[in-house]
Amino acid sequence: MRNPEPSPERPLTSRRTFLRGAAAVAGVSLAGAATASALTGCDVFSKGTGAATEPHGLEGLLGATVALGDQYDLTMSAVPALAPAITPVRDAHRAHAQALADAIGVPVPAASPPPGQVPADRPGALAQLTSAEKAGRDAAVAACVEATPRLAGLLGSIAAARASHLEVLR
Amino acid sequence: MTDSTEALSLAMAAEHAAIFGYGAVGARLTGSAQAAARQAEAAHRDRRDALAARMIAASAPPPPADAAYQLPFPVTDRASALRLAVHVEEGAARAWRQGLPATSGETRRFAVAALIDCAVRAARWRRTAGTQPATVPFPGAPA
Repeated sequence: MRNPEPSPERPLTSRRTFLRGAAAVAGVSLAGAATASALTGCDVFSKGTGAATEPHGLEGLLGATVALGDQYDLTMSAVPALAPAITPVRDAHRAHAQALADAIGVPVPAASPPPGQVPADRPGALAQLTSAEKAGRDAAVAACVEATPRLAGLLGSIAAARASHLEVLR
Repeated sequence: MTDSTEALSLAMAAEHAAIFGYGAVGARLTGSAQAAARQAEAAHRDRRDALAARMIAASAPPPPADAAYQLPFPVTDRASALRLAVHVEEGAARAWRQGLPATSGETRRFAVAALIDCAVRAARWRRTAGTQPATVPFPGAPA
């Protein structure tokens, strides 16, 4: 199973001299984050550890994530001039869908039902994407707050990505 | 120390470091970028204070700031200042994300709100610096 998100177990020590205080023992270094993850048993992407049996209720979020990516595709067809700016965002939604599907142990579904009409004008298209991202961000935050520890980090990152997408749509 | 306290202590340390880092960022920026750096620094101070209050309420002593921090690279001009701003936000985002599994309920909501704010500011700084793309797929994920 391919997972586009780095495994949390990977050490954080390389390159991270900043945020390490003169007294590194104080724990300012984010190298310490890896230790914390180990302490909390946060092996988010260990495969075959009950991912498919754990109750999560995330199929709805997964379907909505696929639909978000599809909405970007439709928008690029309707307003091609937006493509350079929003292609990386579309790709992020695809990566989120793959990571979610992997984490809950299901294949990435096809979008259903297909997204509706997309405005052909730039401001209208951006406004529609903005409102979709805001709704998606709020859904991901709610899912993160309710999630098991194993899934909380991934869902938090997805919520943060959706919030940051709003910067691209401004 | 509980897992939650350990995780929040690391987030606290990252907020201290971010506040220090923005001092160096703001000194090398002008105009609207400098104003944005000041606002970001204030946001990190507010977050630090709110986190300290939460930790104290939970009888977990918040760790103090270090006496000194080492910057990851020399900050000598606008470009390096913007690079540091992105670096600071990415570091704080990682710290908040690692706190998510160890927390729950309102504390996790607090942590994910912090992660979101860091990711949004990082995207703004990348835009200011002209970095493309301005967003990353998994803010706060371990590098």
